[in-house]
Amino acid sequence: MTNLTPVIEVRDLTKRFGSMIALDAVSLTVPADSITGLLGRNGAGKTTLMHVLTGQDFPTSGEARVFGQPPAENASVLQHIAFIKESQKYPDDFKPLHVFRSAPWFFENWDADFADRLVDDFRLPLKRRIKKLSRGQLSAVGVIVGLASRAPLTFFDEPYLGLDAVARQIFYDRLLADYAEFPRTIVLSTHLIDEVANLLEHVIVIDQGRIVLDAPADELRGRAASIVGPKADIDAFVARRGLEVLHREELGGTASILADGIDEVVRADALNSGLQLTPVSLQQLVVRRTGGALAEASR
Amino acid sequence: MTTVALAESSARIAGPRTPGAFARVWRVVRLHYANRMNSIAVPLIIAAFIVTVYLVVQTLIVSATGQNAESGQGDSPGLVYFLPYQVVFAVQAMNLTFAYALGLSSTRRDFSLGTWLMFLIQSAGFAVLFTALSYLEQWTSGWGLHAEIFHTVVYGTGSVGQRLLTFFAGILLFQCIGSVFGAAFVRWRAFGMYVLSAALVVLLLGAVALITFTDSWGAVGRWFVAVGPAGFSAWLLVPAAMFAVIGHLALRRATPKS
Repeated sequence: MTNLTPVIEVRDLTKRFGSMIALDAVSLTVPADSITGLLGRNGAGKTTLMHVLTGQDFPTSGEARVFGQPPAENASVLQHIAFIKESQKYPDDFKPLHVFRSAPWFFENWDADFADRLVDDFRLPLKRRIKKLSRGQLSAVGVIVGLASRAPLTFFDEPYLGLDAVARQIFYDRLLADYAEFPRTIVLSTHLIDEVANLLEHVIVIDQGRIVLDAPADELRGRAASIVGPKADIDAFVARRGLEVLHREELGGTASILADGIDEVVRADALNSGLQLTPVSLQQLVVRRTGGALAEASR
Repeated sequence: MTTVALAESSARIAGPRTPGAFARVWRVVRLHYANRMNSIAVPLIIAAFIVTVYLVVQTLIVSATGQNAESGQGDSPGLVYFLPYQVVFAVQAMNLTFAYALGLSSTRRDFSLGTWLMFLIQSAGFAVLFTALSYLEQWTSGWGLHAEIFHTVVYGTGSVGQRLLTFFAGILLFQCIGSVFGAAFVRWRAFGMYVLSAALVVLLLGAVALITFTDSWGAVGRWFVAVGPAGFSAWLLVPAAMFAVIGHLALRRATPKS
């Protein structure tokens, strides 16, 4: 399914800003030719991680390798990377047409026809100054650069702030179609987990600077489930199976749990015990994994 | 997944080759000229405005006094107002284009070298233009008004080489001042600008104090006369180069902050 050599290899990567630890001894790998979701709450360290991986920032300690080499100030690595971030700044008085004029100088795989089609899809005004664009139109500029550059490694950091549902769907459709035709490694950071869940082949969840999940999406999809049944039965079942309970709710004599580590044996046991087992969405799993008490309170 | 099945069925995307060192620097130069309004049109408009204002004033003086200003009144250093804009231009080139160039996966090193090359091109271009205008001014007797804007003792009225060098060094110096402030801002934000401003003030004040206390103003005056306009212009390239090196070093570990 994927090449053996990972495109991104990170070992014990720590990044401090003064006394604030943005990344705390992070280790992970991203396989080649995959769409990886980098998920986590605001301030979890997603953007910092991408800044280090794209050479925009320097690690405090530890190692980050992209295509086998440290990315910072490394032209032969950076040549393969497109980094689309929500907070991208543009020179004064630039218009989208200046962006689409200059980006091809830097991205050798640039497809001008594809860029033109995307401009039409997103109904982006080319001659309006970037400062005057709406938030959604500004996001569209980045999305178009990220797709049309066809860089072997493309990062999208919250690429669709302000894009409406139709525009987001266009982004997903174009991304998937182009990825199918030109396989490459894509890292997508987002809050809208349910929207992208079907796109992702690999999922990395980061919380407070630490990696809390790093697994193929297929594995995660079946891995967590909600189990409902009489309180006593549920307690016995959890103890018998040694399940990790991420969340628990009770109503009268009935208990409902959200458990991690579900496999075929557990599933069969639940059915035989008369318990009701339903798989949960990726978003629910991520929320329970990263939210703690706060996420529960807000639900 | 269906996407994976599709992915397997088609050819892999080709890894782009890494362009040579000069190609990487040159695309940064092109980036600075991507929006020609900012890098070419605006400076030309500013220069044209300065010249127009001066010629109008000169016309008014001539018509009011009824005489041609032939004894030095026609001489104007007005073109120096072109220089502050070079500082602004350089700060902008450093600050906003830095974040964009890194967004396009340029290295800091390539960005810095490309930006300095752009300054050289920019200074050389305007030096050629102003030198050509200085000869035109000479041949048209100061645009028919005995006005002296480009052909003036302030910038020297020597050989073509001296004129080119003076305009080139003057514009380049101010771009270098702007860019070192821009680089300090990119690296250390406002704090960097404060420290740099303070350092420059201390340096200038120190030099003035040194000359005063050692009673050397006479020697300084003689030095100006001795080196002449061409020599002085050449000396301007020394602080320009110094600023360039400081700016380059400041950029080495700068990060595009949001």
